[in-house]
Amino acid sequence: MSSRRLFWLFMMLVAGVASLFLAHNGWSRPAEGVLQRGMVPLEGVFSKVADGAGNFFGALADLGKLRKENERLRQEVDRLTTLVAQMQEAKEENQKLRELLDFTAERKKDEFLVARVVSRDTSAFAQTVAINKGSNQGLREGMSVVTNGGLVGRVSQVYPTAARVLLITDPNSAVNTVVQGSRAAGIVSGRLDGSLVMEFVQQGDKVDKGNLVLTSGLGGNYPPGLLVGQVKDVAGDDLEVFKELHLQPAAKFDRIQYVLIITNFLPMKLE
Amino acid sequence: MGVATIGLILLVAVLLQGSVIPVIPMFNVEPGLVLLAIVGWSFLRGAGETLAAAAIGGLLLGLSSSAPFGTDLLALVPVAFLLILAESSAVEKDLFFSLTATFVCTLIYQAVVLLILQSLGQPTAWLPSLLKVAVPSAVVNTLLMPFIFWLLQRVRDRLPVTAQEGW
Repeated sequence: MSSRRLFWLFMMLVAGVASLFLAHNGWSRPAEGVLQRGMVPLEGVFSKVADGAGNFFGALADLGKLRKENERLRQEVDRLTTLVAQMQEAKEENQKLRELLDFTAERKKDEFLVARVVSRDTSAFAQTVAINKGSNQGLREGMSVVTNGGLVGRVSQVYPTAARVLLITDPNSAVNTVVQGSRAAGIVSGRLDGSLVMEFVQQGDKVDKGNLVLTSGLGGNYPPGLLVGQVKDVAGDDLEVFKELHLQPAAKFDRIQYVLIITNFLPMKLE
Repeated sequence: MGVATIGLILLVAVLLQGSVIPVIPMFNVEPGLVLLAIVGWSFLRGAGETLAAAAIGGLLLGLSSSAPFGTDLLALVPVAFLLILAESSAVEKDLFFSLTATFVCTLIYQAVVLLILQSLGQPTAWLPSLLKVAVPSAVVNTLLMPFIFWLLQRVRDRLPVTAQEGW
């Protein structure tokens, strides 16, 4: 290996360590913000492509059901034109926004800001999404993010025109929750495979499959009463102190296009 | 020309990796398009452009990942080192060699990312992370490599025949 290449390899190592040091101390945030400003429009274009791909693969997953429906739809396909397809797309978008609007009407005390998901995390070890709203629109770190389905996560990084949302399915996320009805308390966190688990539930607490799990508001990180998921399985031996609940997330994380940020709730700071 | 081309390819790769790839269901495994492009380009264009590709790829991944900026750049240093070593070795560069390199490079990249995250104080479950994320991702990357290689080859063939650029 030539010394010139070794030199550039060493420079790359130095640049990596320096960037990491700056990023870890939060000093690189302004520079990242400037670069993000260039990335967001591009990500926006690609996320529209992703929406189409998501719909396509979602349909593939429901192939069994779709087969019967396909027969019926086939007769209609001939009548579809490009204009109608575009109108359909606009209608779907309208529907999603309307659902979000209905959700905001249910929570009158909260103030919301709508944002579009522009990209997913490229790291295999993290579950985050990037959205197209940032500090210029009033976003702050820690704000809760929801959809009409339920809790999505919280704002973890804010740039002037974009922000990153840590999903509740991330292993580093922790949400204080209660089971509706029994009020059994626990902490919901994510797993590497994207699943959701409620831990530290007292063995004596009564929990059944299908019970809803909501944010408790304990700890002051999330407003209380937000739907997190539904119990699909109860794990843990009777001799163990705690039981573990496997949850079906309320929000459809694989198909999120728009999210709502609750702007009038900021997490409590202990210091 | 070569560096500009791989820069553009990597930009498209990182945008696809952050948008289209996550919505394609693949048993919770996501291929690393950027890593594949770097490894593939290294075999096609040589060690000089490998370093440039790794640096550009690391910066772009840093912008689109929640990990602290610099994590990906740093994780790609050993990958670039291995690829340059592989190029200068006397081993025959056949399909098996490039597939093995893809598998090994993915594992090393993911392991270094984990190591950096752990050193920054993030809780890291090594065994589940390696078994559920790193190894499946290495397998998917290896399976995808022939297709990515074919794509990159087509791009390379359109470039004017000049001396290789890079560092």
